[in-house]
Amino acid sequence: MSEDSQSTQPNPPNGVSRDTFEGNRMEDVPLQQIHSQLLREKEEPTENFSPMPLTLMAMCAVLIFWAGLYLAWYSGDLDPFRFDETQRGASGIADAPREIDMLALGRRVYNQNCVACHQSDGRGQSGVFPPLVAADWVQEESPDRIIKVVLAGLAGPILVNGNPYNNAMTAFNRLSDRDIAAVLTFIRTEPTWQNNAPAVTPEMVAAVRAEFGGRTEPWTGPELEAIHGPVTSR
Amino acid sequence: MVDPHRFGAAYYLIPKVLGRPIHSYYLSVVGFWSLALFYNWAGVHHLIGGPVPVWVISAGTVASVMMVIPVVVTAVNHHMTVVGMQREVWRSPTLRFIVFGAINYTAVSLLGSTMALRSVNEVTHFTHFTVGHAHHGVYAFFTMIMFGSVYYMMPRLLKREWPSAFLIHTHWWACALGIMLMVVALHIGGWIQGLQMNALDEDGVPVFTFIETVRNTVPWLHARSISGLLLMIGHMAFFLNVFWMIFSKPAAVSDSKPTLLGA
Amino acid sequence: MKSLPILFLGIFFTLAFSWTGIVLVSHIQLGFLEPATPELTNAEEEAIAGVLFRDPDTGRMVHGRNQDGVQANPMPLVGSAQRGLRVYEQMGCLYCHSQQVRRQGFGSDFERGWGNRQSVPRDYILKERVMLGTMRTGPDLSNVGLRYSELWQHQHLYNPQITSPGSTMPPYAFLYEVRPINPVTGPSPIAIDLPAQWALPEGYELIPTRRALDLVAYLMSLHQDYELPEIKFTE
Repeated sequence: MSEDSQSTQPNPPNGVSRDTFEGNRMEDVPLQQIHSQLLREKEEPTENFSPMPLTLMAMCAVLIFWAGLYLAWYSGDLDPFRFDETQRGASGIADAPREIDMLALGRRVYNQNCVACHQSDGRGQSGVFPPLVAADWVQEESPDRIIKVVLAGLAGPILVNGNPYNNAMTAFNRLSDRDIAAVLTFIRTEPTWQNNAPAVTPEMVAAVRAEFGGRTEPWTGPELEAIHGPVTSR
Repeated sequence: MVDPHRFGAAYYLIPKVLGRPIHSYYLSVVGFWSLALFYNWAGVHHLIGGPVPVWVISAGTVASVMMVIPVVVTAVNHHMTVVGMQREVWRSPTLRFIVFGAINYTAVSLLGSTMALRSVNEVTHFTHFTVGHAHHGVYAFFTMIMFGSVYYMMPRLLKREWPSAFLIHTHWWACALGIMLMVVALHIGGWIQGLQMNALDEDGVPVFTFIETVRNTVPWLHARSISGLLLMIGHMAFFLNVFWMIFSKPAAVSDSKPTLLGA
Repeated sequence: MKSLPILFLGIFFTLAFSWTGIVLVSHIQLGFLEPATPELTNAEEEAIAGVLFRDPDTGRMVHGRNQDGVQANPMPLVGSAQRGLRVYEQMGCLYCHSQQVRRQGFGSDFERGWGNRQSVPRDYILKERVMLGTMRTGPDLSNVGLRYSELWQHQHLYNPQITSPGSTMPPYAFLYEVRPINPVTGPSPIAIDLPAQWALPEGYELIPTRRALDLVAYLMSLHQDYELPEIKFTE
């Protein structure tokens, strides 16, 4: 570094001494390196003016045509109160009255409302949610007790098939008489659940609802026992 | 959204690094204005099936499908600019990330247009498919392009080169493989989840209980955890490289060659 | 840049186009919504089928009037349930649960019992925050207030495995307090009963915190079990 102290000029970049830098002693490798650094800097971007390919134009035309069709089909007449795109024009044309399969309806109502606690196999959960499979409560000759339970709910300790359960069931009085009758029929007659009790009709549910429909408190085991006596399986 | 941001970066950096003009000015213009026209309407496709009038959803679906125009136009423009220079793209860290992002932009946008169709959305909505789609967009395309931009900017701002090609390699492979694994796993898992969620038997009873549909996604979510690990490795490599670059002595790196990746 | 004004106008009009379409038109169409009775009446107090009727004086379509003496829905959130909305938000319930029912025939929402009609804009008009949600890692909650009892909700939040074995939902046990039963006053009236196999050690009871009570009040308030002029129950 003796050259540094003698020189009054500032050193060139990179800490290479002036003497070395100007002395034509530069090796090829560093020179190439600097070159390659400079060479990679390209011009500011510009643009060519290739025309738009015809196939792209065709694609746009097809898309716009499709968009027109889609809007014509599914714009719902710009009606803010139409939520079903398959509905055409004013609704309300009544279908012919349909035969209702109470078992299929009951199975669906069960899956909509009961599975979360009693499980899809109807076996419940020990100590918490009583089973419906082969259960004495389900198989009683008269369905009035379980209709009451479904309508107003049930809370507190009970015995099902001799096993204790203690929890709370919510009220399902929002379901129609037909739906409650269907789901109870499904539960009481499902062969894979080893249940074989008489079907429940909407009229039976309506009768219980007429008598106790105003009740908002859930039933308790002893209360039901006071009305119907102990649970007796058929 | 992140599109306009990313368009700017890709439209500048691809021609700048390759030293070759953008393929077509006309295509850029068509891409810009069709994007501006349709993109604002497209967001409604997140409400398909929701509490919204039919016509709003139809408008959103149409706009989402019309997004095919800017996407294809931009893809053609970028592809035609790059075509024939694949070796340069592979060697430059900047372009390797940016072109990966550009390819994924095309893929994620076309998938997004498909997902906006009511019949497809019925399956994918509310599932991990949508989550995978979001990561496909924001990571595989946007984040990767931003990584590429950082690889371009830092040497020019600091006047020194990237210290380690090995770390760039690690970053690239960990992130590219990681995000692809995540996207594929969530798309497949989400599609299965959607099909099982909607499956009904002849009585109109769900075939799978809800908990079954959720438990069946767990293996795919494990794959997602592995992909997250890969991404973390990539991010650590990137962080180390940046840290090294900023805090190393200038002389140690200043007169080295630009850091390029092996062909 | 010579084309700057054109660029500006172009961007302005494309933005104005979508803003008009999505925001303005929707607001004109739906911005007036108020709680409504299942059937509306016209100026002569006759029941009408839809939402709008033609005003005989002006000839314009106007919104029907609510029937007298009939409950109008939706109802506002008040008190504990209103605070519970914030807890719902803070606990991130939104990330896994939606609050929107799709119509029968589109997905399986109806068949899974998440609601017996599709959700419509009017259901949300009184909500301070609309928690529509985009994921269903957990079931839809639009009608969760109808499906379970309060006790179920508390047990489920404290530990989902009690009520839903196999659930992937994290336990929110930190919203509950396990504390010794006060020897003087005896068990607290708000203590949560637990099933035998989950029972606490002898002499301890599970007390919900304020936030747990608010959250359950909010969950119990979630229901779309009413008909509206624009939407009737499915079947």
